[in-house]
Amino acid sequence: MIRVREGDDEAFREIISRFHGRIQNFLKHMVGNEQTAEDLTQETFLRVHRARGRYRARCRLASWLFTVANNLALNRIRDNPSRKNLPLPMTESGSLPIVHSTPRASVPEPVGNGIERLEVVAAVRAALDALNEKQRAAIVLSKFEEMSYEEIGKVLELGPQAVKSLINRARVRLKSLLMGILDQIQPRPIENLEGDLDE
Amino acid sequence: MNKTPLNINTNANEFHTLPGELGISEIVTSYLDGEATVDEVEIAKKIIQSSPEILIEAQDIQRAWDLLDFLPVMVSTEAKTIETMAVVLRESGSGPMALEESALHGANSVFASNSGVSNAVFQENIHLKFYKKISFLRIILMAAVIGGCLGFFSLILCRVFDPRQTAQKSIAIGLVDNIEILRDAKNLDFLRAIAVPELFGQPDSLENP
Repeated sequence: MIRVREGDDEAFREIISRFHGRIQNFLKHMVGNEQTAEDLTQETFLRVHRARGRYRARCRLASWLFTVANNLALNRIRDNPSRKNLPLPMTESGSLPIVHSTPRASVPEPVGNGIERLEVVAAVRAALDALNEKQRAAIVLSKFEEMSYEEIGKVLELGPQAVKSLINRARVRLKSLLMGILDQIQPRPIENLEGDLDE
Repeated sequence: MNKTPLNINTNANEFHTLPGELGISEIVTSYLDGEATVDEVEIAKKIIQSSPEILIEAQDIQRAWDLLDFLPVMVSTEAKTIETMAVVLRESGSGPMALEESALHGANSVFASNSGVSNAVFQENIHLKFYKKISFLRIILMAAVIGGCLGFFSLILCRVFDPRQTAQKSIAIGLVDNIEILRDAKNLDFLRAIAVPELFGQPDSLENP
């Protein structure tokens, strides 16, 4: 990024090549639309390139990129009311109902106990959408980017304690939303987890 | 860092008392994420092993976490990279600094604002419109200056390199000089002999050989 700051366009092309997919997937999870995610990805790199003169080496490049991407996603979600957190139909237990989507373009892939892959994808997608924007961003950054709490805090502009609470609340909510499908996929592997803890 | 997502219900906090600001579930979460302190690690282990209910709850959260792997991943291609780079190069340097400021700090305004309209976006639009207007005026002014310069130079070039004007000018200069030289001598025949026939007609000696 220092080379980019000095006007090296080839260096910036390398950055795009390295981060394009990650930023694009993050935005896809945030806004839920591939085309919008692509547009915002381009916008992210464009704004970073314009602001390259203000880059400081002590700031991690990935954190900076995801901060810009996250802000753009928040702006887009706010400007698009249909994307805001709407109340989802819940079962009596508080989880999302399983949606049997038909027809399907691809061959359904069974996951277990009669549940097909596309149904799981739809349920997980709906559960992720049901989280608020900060929870969703924290989940995506932690799960798919494997960011530490400190890095997530930088992206979301939160302190360490706030990040811990945020991720914890997000996971608990995610579990609650997906309980309907969890019960149908596989039994709970209590012994395995106990084994992990003993190790 | 190999993360093992695991958590427990926040309701469990009601049954446990721990020092510090963190609740039980946060401690367990951070422990399983590899983010817990040494003290928190010990506490988290005891909590999880102490209650089957907490263990089951944690396992459910872990399985829900694992379900995220089912989400499809968008594939980034070289073509997309090139396209993005082309957009960056085309657009770079054409925007005001306010745009970047808005992108970098827009989230604060989003969460700070209770209204539906963000100050960041509003100001961004204002800056964008202003910048476009300034750019348009700049282009018009530049075109006018370039056009004026081209016209002026073309006029000069026509004056300098027009062969007819050059010849006439030379003749006129020669004529005046000769008039000055020959005024005292009053020998207009000589003048006619060296001057332009179209102006003075042919010298007598030539007209009547």
